[in-house]
Amino acid sequence: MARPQVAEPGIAPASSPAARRPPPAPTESSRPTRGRGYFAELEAAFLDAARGAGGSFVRDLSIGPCRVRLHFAGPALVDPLFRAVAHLGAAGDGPPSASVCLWDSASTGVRVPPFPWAGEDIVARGEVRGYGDDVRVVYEPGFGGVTMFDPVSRRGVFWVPGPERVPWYERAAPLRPLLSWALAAPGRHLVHAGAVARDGAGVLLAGKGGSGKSTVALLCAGAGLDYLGDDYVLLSTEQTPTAFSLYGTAKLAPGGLTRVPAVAGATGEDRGSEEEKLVLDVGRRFPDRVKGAAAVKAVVLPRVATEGRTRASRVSAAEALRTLAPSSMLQLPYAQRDSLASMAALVAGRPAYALELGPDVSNVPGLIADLIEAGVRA
Amino acid sequence: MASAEAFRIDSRKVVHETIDGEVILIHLETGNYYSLDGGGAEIWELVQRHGSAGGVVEELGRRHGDTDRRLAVTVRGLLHELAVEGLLEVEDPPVEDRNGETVPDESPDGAGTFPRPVLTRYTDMQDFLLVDPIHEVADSGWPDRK
Repeated sequence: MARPQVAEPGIAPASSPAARRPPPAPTESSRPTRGRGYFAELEAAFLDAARGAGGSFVRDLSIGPCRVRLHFAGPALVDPLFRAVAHLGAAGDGPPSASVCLWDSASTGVRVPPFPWAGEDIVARGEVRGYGDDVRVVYEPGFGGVTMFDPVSRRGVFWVPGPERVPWYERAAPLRPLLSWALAAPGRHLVHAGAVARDGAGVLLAGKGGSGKSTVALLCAGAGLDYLGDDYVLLSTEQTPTAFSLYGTAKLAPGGLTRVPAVAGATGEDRGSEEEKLVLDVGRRFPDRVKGAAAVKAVVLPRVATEGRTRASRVSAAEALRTLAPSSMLQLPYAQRDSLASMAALVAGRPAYALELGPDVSNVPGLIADLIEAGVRA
Repeated sequence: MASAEAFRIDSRKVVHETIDGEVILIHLETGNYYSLDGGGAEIWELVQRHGSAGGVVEELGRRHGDTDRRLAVTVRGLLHELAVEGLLEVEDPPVEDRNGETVPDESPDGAGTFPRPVLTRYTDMQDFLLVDPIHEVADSGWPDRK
């Protein structure tokens, strides 16, 4: 992984190649609006915060064909928000496809500009009523954070009251709305699925929370398969359908470790048992097995069964789409309507299997490897 | 069937794809999602094209050689069900609805040769759309919470 760039104190974003370029000229779609006005206030506050915190810390993420540049105001948020994506850290030239400023008030002493919306304006998924047509806004009631993204300038801002307010689930899978907007393109979307692979070919693991995605992904990683994620990946159907890793972490319900003995003794400080789930740093446990991309050869739908042997059986493409699409589209703010067509194209062109997880799951890696192999041969 | 009866899909709220003869529909505002199976996929295809129950019935009759009056009842029943779920917008409520007409007791299940449409609703994703507005704001004002 490339050594992170630490910019000189000052307004560090100006030290980055992206920031040296002049901002895009206003166009019909980037005229000042209420959303853009507040976005500009948040960006200005970020610059104050970076000055006060000794500069900004720059990290680049390489995700498939995209490079996302993160500018942290001071070091306080780097570990909470970067650790899960550290395996995507990238060196190299070329402008980022999106850049994001991240800051907090507690460590920088800079107050957030008063929100221009009222609490009653917060609607489903943290979307803010009256915003979103130009600049997307999400308020996170769970930890009081604000995320904004301007799809025209491809710049984003993330603010949180303080580093200690970043909850376990955000540390495990940070910046999900921002990444969903920054990485989206026709035929390219975040999907609610894990992915595991072997030699660059793999399967998507789709299912709602509690279906067993994490268990299957960790069992496979423990057995030597490549790991791309347990809950969210970037899916591209532009050419060869490909899954790209987002997070090198996994989340397990308490007690779930007993089913994945390969990681049970290696949780270390990851074993936070914060609230409901354990957060495992898969990249640290299996540094060679967390991979950035794999061609998707099949879709697997894990299901927890209370009895019977663990087995895989073919299901229809419609069932796969019904399992994959609703949770992908309904969990993320500002649903990307065209993502349904991308997911339909994926499941129409490759087999889908239900994976019934019985009490004995020791054969899961072998089953998954067989499904990958069958997909490669098809 | 009232000729003024017209249906359309509000694409801001509803997304759909047809695969393997089954329509998957997601209502982005309610969080419900649906499977439309059996003859439902064909009705869904035709209502997008014709926008009216009458147009759907007419073309189905031509395609399947089905002139059974229960076909119209089947179509109207499904379109009404889709409208109730918010998957279709009714631009002009059917006269029959205003008059309180009810579907005949005889089941439309066996209507001619046309396969019975089956709409299945799934509600297990609604939790993602539950809203907990922030009402309590500190004296210093929003965004400081009490």
